[in-house]
Amino acid sequence: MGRNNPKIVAFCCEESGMPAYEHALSLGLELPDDLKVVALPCGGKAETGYIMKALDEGADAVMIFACYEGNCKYVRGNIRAEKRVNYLKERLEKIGLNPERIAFCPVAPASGVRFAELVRQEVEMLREDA
Amino acid sequence: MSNQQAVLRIPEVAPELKEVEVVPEAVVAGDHPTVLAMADSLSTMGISVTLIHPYKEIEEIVAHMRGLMEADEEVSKKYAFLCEKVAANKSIKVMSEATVDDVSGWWGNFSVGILQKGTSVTLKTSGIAVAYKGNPVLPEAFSAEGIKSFSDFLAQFDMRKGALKEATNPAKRVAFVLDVDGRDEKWASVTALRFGAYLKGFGSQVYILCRDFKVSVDDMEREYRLAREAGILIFKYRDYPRIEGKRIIFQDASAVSEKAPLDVVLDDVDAIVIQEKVVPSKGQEEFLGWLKIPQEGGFVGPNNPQFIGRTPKKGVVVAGDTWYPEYPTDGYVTALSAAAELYKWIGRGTYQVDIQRVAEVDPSKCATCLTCYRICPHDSIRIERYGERNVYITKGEKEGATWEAARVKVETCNGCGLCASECPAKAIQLVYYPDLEVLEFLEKT
Repeated sequence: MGRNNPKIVAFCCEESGMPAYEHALSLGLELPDDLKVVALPCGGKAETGYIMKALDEGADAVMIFACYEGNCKYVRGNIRAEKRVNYLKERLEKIGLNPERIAFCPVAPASGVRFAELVRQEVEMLREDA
Repeated sequence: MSNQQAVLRIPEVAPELKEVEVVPEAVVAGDHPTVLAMADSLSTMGISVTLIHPYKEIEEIVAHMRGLMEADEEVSKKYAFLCEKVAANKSIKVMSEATVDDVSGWWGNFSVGILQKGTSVTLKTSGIAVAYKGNPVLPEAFSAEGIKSFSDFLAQFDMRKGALKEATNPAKRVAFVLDVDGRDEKWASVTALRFGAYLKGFGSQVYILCRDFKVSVDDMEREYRLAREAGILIFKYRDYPRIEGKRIIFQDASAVSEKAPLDVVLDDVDAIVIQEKVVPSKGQEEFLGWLKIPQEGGFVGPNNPQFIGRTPKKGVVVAGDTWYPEYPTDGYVTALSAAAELYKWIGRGTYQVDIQRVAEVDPSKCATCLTCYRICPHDSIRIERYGERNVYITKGEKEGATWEAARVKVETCNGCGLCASECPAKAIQLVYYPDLEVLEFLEKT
């Protein structure tokens, strides 16, 4: 864990997170190189196992980019993802880790700026925390 | 920073196709007038339609339509014409005095239980289109104040042009109170504006009190401007208005800051029109429950705003109040798009389904906990009997017995992976994107 280059794993919904990431790339916005992007068919596919594995393997933060509420192609995948994240945050707090290391971030498919902004905020938060 | 992130994309697996035969036939059921639009539209597309309605004569579907439909003569005429057209169409099989009793099955193979004059019939069909009518009730906020029935006030349900004209003759002061139950419904704004403009023509003073005013219907922006110019006053209130006899008191949301609330008082209001709340009928709630279609407050619409008339369940479309209480012109459009959506699924005869982009259950791991069955948004998981042994439970220990496990219906699975992510026994995997790929990618982050 570098103090200045925290490692972030981003689980991106195929319908919103991935297009937002690609939009951010096409705009030439700055994203950290230590970002690992995992495309998933739905934000709701970001399992507890995936998130914990990422933290276990040395990620400083895990971000789940899913659709806004009411926009899920599969009706309530994003709601399930958010509930799961809230549950995991509770567990992290119990074992003495910063719950902010897991973040649920709803984005629109064409909001690359928002994507980059959320990642930048997370990096800043981790730097302060370190 | 050079934007060189490691990215794991969803693998592009060559599709493995399975042919599915679907007979182009559909059941159209319900008591909302939009069933006529759906039946007519599907019949034109060459689908054999069975229309199930609870009335004696088909004309009664239109006769029993909601009061607000009479607001628009054009719409009334359109539905009356549709009714004649459907009655004259010999290829539409009409079952009158019949209600849907039970529905089960999947796209291409639904079985619909029908109760007709005391006898029950079961129909096999490929697709289902449904439009039920909702029931109007007085919003809770008003019933709490001792207002018991519609007769105390002029509810929009009872509102006919004639009735309101009589109640406000000679010209009087009329107030429309909308959005009391917190749901903003477009039809209420549109109806209030049209009736308001109509009454304004006779010299009445018209007030519209609302939380949010929606006019996104064809031509309504123009009518809204004209109504404002003609002097209809539209207020946005913060808390719902108090009604004391002929007086309405409310806090104007746009004019005051929260620190200095200002009560606005409308005195001597002769007629108060309250927007009723539309609640789903019993038949509608049962129907959505049988097919496990996700609903919000008994309606499909707010859960699924992108695809008009579509439900997550393949082969089932909805219109009318089953979709969402709508202004009649909007409801007609919803019915047509629902019919077009159903045609997409049952009109072509043979379909090719990709059986790679689906989830698969490992029956030896499945504990039959029903988590996936509960979660699947497309209702494509059932518990079925496999020949293999189940690790977690020991069902049917008798001779020749089989073991139960969840099974994904590949024809209706969309491969979203929600079941796979929730399965406590990790018995479900996406065929095209197994867990192992993601976990390997995450190693040494």
